[in-house]
Amino acid sequence: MSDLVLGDDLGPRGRRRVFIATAVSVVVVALAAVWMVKRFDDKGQLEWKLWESVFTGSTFRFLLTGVRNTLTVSLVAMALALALGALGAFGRLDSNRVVRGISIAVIELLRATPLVLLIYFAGVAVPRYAFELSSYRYLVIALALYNGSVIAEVFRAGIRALGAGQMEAGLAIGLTEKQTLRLVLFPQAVRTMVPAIINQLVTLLKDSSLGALVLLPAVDDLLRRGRQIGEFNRNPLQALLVTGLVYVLINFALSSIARRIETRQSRRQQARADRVWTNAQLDTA
Amino acid sequence: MGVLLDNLDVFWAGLRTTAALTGLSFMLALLLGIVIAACRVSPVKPLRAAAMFYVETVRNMPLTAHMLLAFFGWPKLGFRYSPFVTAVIVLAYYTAAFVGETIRAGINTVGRGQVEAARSIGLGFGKQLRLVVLPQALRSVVAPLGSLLSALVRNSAVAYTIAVLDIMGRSDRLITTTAKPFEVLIGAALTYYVLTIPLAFGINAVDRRQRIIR
Repeated sequence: MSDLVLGDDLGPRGRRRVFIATAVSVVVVALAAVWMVKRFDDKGQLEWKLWESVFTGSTFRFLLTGVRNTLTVSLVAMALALALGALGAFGRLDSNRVVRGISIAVIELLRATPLVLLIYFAGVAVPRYAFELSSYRYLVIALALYNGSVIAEVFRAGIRALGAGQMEAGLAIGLTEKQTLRLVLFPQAVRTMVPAIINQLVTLLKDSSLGALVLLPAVDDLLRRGRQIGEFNRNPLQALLVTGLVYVLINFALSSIARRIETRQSRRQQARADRVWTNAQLDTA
Repeated sequence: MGVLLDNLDVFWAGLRTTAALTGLSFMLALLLGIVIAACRVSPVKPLRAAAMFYVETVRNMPLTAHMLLAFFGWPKLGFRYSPFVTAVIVLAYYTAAFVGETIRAGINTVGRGQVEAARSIGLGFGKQLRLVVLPQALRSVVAPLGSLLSALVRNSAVAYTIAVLDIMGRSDRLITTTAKPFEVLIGAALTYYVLTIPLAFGINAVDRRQRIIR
């Protein structure tokens, strides 16, 4: 399949137009890049002494610890969020109206609340009235609650996408509704939802940086450490650019994995559909 | 609860700031997002590459990092704006990456067969786009764009970290003066619900009406 979404292969006139547009856009993109670099240069932001401190071995190790803390917080929060999400999805699909109502209310309220507010709430209001924990734990709890509500909806969408036949088949072989949900529908939904879950992990990883800004004492993650480098060396622009780039690399790697799984799944589904099709043809033959 | 009733005007002022912040940045994000989507589906390779670079770098970096970079980094390059304007710009270009991907996905849901059918009955490129592709693409894009708007309302709370006085920023100050974090934060959440919950109902209603049953 070609890269084109609209229309198919171009004729001579179309090719000529695309050629001209390509030339023009190369110039425009290059000019934008040159302008940006010149801006950096004019303001003295390209000087090596401002960049030097970002690329030393000690800075690298300093940031690496931040990366480790970010990953730890994100993975722990994600594990909890998956458990909470499964719980929420089962609650929403429960046959008991009260259970369903409560699940819907909790999920919808959590989803409608800004995550900043939840983290702030966990870190400022909860310790005042209830128990005291470290900033990390408050961050993990807030992230897990919020993402749990999002993942509950992901699971539910996955279960609903399976089609009524699966539930009917489960009931027909004598399983109860709950058993069918747990043994037949849920495992299938999880498999197809793996890419969506990895993408949610990317979102969670980005959101975890809020702990460095909202909570006191600040969570010592990648963003916090990047900011400290900028404050220490008086080069916030360079330090934050490099920190941002580290986030981009981690998240890009994660979303590439998600994309790869997605294409493999769709290929497998296609294969299955083809097989069903040929079987049907054989039956009629 | 007395704190809430005494400070209704504070929450109201915050609500207006949050609404303005979200409204302005969403409009800018839509414009920029349409341009990005157009670049990503265009037959011109450098435009596709540039748009992809933009989307991948912008959306893989945390909004918080974008905010800090804008607040502490931009002035070094001579771009000095008020916190509100900075927040609008950051939220707009951040959301635009997601808007662009949403619109592109919408265009992709219109099957190739539709375009081929339109061509075979002799429609030109403009008519293909106007009569066949866009009506179907826009339809499938409305609900996801609504979710993006809702996410933007919630994301806009990050702006309080660069001293924008939105709902979150004003609540933060109110907590300092009243020392009642619990009540104030409940009030802040309720104020956000005024914006997000009707939006969620609206999205569901639109989604139900516009869905194409195939």
